Amino acid sequence: MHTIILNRLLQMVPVMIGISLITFAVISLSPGDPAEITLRATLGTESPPKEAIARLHEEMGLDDPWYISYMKWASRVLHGNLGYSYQTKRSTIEEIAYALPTTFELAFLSIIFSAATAIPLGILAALRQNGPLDHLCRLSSIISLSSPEYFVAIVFMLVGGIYLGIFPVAGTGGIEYFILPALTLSIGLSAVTMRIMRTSMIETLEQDYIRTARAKGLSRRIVIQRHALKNALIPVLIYMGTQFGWLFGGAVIIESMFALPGLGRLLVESVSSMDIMVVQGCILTFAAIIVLINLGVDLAQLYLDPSIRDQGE
Amino acid sequence: MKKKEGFLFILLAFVVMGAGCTEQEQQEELQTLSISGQWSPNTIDPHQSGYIAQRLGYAETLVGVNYEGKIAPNLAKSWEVSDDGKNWTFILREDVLFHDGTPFTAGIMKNSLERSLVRSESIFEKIPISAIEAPDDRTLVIRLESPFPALPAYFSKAESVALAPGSYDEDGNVLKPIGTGPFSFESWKPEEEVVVVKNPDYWGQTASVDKVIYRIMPEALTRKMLLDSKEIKIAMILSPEIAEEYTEKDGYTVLQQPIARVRMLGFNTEREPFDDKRVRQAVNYAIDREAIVTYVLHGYGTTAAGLFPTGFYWANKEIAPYTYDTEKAKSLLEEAGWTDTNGDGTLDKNGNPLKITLITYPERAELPSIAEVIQQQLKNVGIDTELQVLNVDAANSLRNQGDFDIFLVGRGLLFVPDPDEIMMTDYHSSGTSTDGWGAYRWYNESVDGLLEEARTTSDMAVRKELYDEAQAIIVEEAPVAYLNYYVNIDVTTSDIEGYRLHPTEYSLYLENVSIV
Repeated sequence: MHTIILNRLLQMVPVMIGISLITFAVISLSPGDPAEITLRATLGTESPPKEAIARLHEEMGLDDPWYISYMKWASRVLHGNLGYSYQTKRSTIEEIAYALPTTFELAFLSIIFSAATAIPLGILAALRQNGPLDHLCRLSSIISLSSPEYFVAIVFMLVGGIYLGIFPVAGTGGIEYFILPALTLSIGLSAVTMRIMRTSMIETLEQDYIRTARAKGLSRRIVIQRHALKNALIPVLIYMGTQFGWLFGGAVIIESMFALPGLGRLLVESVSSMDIMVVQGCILTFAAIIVLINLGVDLAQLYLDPSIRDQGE
Repeated sequence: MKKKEGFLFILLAFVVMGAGCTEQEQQEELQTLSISGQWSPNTIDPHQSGYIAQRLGYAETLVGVNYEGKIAPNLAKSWEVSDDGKNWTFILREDVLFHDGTPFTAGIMKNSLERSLVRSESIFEKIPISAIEAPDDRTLVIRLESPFPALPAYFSKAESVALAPGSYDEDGNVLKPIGTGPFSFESWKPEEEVVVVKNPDYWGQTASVDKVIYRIMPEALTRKMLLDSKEIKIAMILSPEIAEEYTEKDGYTVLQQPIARVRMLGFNTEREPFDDKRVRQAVNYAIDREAIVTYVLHGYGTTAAGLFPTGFYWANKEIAPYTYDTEKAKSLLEEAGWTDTNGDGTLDKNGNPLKITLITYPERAELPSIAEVIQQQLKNVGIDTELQVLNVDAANSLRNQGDFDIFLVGRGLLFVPDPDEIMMTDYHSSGTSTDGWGAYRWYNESVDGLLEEARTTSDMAVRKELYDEAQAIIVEEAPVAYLNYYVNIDVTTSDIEGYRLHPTEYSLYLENVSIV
């Protein structure tokens, strides 16, 4: 077990190096002069002075060969220095630390909403296979998956915020400001989770041990609750775990729409102003979160499913 | 024991009831105005980035900008320049207090300016300042190494606001900006909101509302939703599509204002066909500017004749616009030697068809659509146009390399409310030969001379004449084709009175706004 964990941890190293190289390359290959763009954004003028551009070039190491720029940058990152935002003059770490809790809260609430709707509906759909509820669930999954987040956000704003007037349309404050964005973000995840829950439950109900339990005369409710549910939930939980990281990605659009000051919005705004160090910091943070979550899910799977653990060892 | 508990309970009940009453009373008394825009202050320090401080009115500059885009007295009552143009004397207002009660003096203004010259990085780099002096509390003297008539205009830039000494911590960083404006700064949550409260001791018109909450919402659609749900009373910078919804909806007012930004074509005057003035003029005649405003901009725009919208002081209002005249365009092209010899619909000269490339970018969403309309309109006079829509930086790179024929751009005009900066950068040969987004590699001796003279003249009326003349030559020589001016669209709920958009977005002047 320890060997597996160590292996997984070591596998993360090249993945992170790869990601850092790609991040660095994407930014370096972007058209336009980052120093000029930065000055244009910070000075509010479209023709920043040439001397200022030259000074910033030097400061940002833009005139060095790419591998030297990369090594300089990577070494700074390893020392916990992700540089400074040219927009706000604050450190990138500070910017990310400010934004991360919002995104985390949003993603966490979305997972809760997804689980709260998708798991019971998935179970019911499985138990009433090919019945009207099952068809309805299938139809709603298709609609949810084919609706762009942008559109869903507008619908929720209109319904929840304007017509019903229950939730604030956008902005920040208490937990109520997270309800509409979290619901929007949870829609896509719910659709897939519901389908997985349904399939997994159907498969579990066909297992021999369930038949044995039924043969022993246990009630349907007890068979489902005590025997089937635990096993049927494993793939669902693993799927939701892996999706937690992707919810961070989904937050990019949702946070801008609902004006939540999270990591997604920070990324969008830093990309539009070419605030390079913040862009790099955000992408690395997103990547690190996804890699860490995948690692956590792998380890949880090892713990929950002894057959995989045995194969590994 | 029971008696004591009973007494405590009654006392507690009174406290709770009392607190409730006070809160209720306060809510009734305080009038809060919630507004929303896309801009987010990057920092709390106005000397680094001050436009939000200036727009929300919690910090002020020496010089203001009026609704014609012309500089006007503000914290400085008046100013004059010495005959050699090197010494500027500003006379400051006497009745000004900072929000913490500190009297506003020339000494504090001097310190503020000196700090802003350093903190704002290169905004004030162009000004050749040699010394700032405060001989007495009401007089501020700026000594220059060489004449610089645009100096007062630069001092209307938000980064030069006056801040009280109490604004800074021991290291000289701004803890809380304490300015002189009609509102005082209360709080800021990055990317979320800025809250300001009324300054009852303001030297000018005191505000009607007690508090303003400025909510930062990057998406125009979100601002619209907030307006619909009545969470805000003013939604700034909406798109024409969104604004159209409100024109016939009860309970809302749509406001629009041409701002200092022009959509224009820049020609590559370095190579054929646009090295020929007649071809440049032909394109000017071939474009139906009215149609672009009506169909692409949904009517939210005004057609352009010269560089500045006519509401601005610096606009040459005498300039006659290029009319839409395809016959005139065709005859000019023919004069320049372009005729359709093989009858394929595209003009040609010496066996070369008149094929050009037009570059633009989608960051300003309407530009690609305008480019398509222009492509069609140029086809009507026999010019075959290939469109290249690239991101703004890639488009700009191609432009700087000269790898284009026409460049379609939305150009900001009065970041500094004086024509010097924009005209030197975009139309003087020192600017057109290097960068700028206006005329490309274009050189005109008369324009160069006029702009240089305007740089060294202190008399504003004389400068206006010089700039008028330069603008007229530019339109006649047509190194560019001005298409239309940007219009800012704000929508307010109809209980808002006194809100007026400013053409340079200098200030929101919320002290004039009341909720009826």
